[in-house]
Amino acid sequence: MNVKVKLNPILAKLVGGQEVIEVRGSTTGECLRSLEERFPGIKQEIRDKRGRLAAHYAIFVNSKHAYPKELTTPVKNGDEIEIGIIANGG
Amino acid sequence: MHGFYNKVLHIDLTRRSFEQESVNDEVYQEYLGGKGLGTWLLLNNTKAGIDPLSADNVLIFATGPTTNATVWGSSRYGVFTKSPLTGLYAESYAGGKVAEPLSGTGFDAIVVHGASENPVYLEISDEDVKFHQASHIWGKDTYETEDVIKREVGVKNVGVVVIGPAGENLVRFACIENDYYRSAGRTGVGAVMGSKKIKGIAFHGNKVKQIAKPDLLRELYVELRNIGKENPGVKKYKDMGTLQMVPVMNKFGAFPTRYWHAGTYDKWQNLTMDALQQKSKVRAHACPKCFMACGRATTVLEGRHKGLKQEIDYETVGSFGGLCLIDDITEVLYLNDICDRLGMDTMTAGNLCGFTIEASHRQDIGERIEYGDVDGIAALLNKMARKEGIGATLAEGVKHASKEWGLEDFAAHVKGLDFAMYDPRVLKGMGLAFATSDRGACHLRATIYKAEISGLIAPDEIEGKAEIFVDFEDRHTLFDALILCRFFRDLYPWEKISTLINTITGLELDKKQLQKMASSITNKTREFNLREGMKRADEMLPKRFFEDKLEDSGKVLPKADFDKMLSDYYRIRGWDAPPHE
Repeated sequence: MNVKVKLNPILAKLVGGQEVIEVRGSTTGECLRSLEERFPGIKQEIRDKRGRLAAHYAIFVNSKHAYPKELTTPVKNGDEIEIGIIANGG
Repeated sequence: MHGFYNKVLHIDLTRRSFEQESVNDEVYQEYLGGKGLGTWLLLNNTKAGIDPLSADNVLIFATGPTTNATVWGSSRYGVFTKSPLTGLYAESYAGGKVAEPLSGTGFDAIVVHGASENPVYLEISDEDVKFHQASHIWGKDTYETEDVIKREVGVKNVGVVVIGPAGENLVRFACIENDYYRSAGRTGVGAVMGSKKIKGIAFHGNKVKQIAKPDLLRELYVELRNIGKENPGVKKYKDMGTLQMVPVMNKFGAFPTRYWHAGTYDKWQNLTMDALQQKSKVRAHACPKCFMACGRATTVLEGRHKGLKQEIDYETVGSFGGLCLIDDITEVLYLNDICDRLGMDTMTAGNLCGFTIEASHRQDIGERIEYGDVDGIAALLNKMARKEGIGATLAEGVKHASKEWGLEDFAAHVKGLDFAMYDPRVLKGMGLAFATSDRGACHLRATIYKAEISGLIAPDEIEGKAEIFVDFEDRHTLFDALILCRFFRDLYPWEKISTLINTITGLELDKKQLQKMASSITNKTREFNLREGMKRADEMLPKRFFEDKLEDSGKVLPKADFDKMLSDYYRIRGWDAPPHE
């Protein structure tokens, strides 16, 4: 499956400024692992110490949030995953 | 009208009397409740140019149509007055357990006039207003004051708001507190309460408003709960409260550090939720009718503050942790606790401490204080609250202090209200937010940082920013007129607000009509500010944010970019810039 991963500016910096990367996988988790293998800096940024998605990140598939299945949502050819930041200040 | 009592209570402290005022439906149709009603009352009950700390000012407590109804995020009240800190419009909101008993008194708003000769606390119920003498609690901290008033009133489910020594001493950024840790924090509303010699107010009563469509409101309540269960933002609030912003803002380079010199603090990892949990027991704590549970009920388990109980939020961590370089979150909790007990806004207090440290480095101000000096900062906070030594200057606010010390271009404020914890050189929309907010450099009127961080519009993008800003600001204004918690903003988009208003009040308003209502309220606050002499300089950022680069990223907010956002904003609002002089 060819899936596009859209990166926020913080992550884009870690892949030389690219905002979209094509990866393979049938779930969001597989796609992220594929991305992390190519760009280890991404893994360091988006995972916590226990390997979970870091708390301030969120995963969106075709603009719809994947919570609570952020790493297990099925994806198909042509889908777009976005690694987003949720800003809940106040 | 459904959702309202159509009644306002006026209390005259000077005469120790009270009377009711009937409010016509037309007022609610134009301004709704909360901020809309509060601003309408403020304009009608004050004369231009009054001294905010005189008996001529009024102190208004208001609820919204959602208060005490089956509505998520509705346990908040608002306070409206003329600010002693800015000399302009003041509003501040707090959660906790006060809004429902305040609504139970049977009034949409309570307007306190005049001033008492001696300390009093008020007991306002659905039957009476009592004036209790308060000399025995004058001078006490906020926690003890709340305990005493609750005990003396002796009514179950009473809601109590109080001031601490800072409010008594007319410190211009004193706040009003309830439930120990909840604060109507900004713009000095506590000083106005102190100027009237009111140590506290207890609210209780059993009045209930009529709802237009109670069954539909109940359905909306269930629907929202289900939406909340599937929302990642809700989970993040529950897991981390607003401390989730510490890593985000540092990664964006917009975390105010060393009094606005840098945007990343090299020790930010000591200020996160993880850091808090390593040293403390932390429990998510919610207001009534809330599933977000943003509160971090914390008990410190180790170190010199072992046993300290507090609740902490991002703004306080930024104000002391970032601006003053305090690299231990339990020490920030300690400073938070001092402010809460004394009854001072942590955001202004933290900013002032950072400002004083800078002033101390630059010249002889009679005080040597260093970054990271927790005990020195604690001592400074006490001096502010009691107006001792240098604290007397700081108690007048940053505008006054910076003038006295010749550092006017250096102080981070607009209208006299210190910046919230978002550097506008990175998050450029926040520059527009700080400049145009009716109460000064506030982050909450539009929370445009959400749009910039989430990618809705890039932080550096100027074109189109004012349009998004106005859309955000209008929706947030309605939140304040309904008095809904900001943290529910992702769960109440325009269409849900329309449904909510319809089910409660019966008013049928589409997005365009809602925007018109929001504009009416915003225009009213501007009317107040212009009446009170707001000048063009009051909608401008300090020069350093246009010229001094952030030390780590080198970013500035180019003046031309700021001017473009501001002129776009004025155009959309249909406003002229305020007069130069």
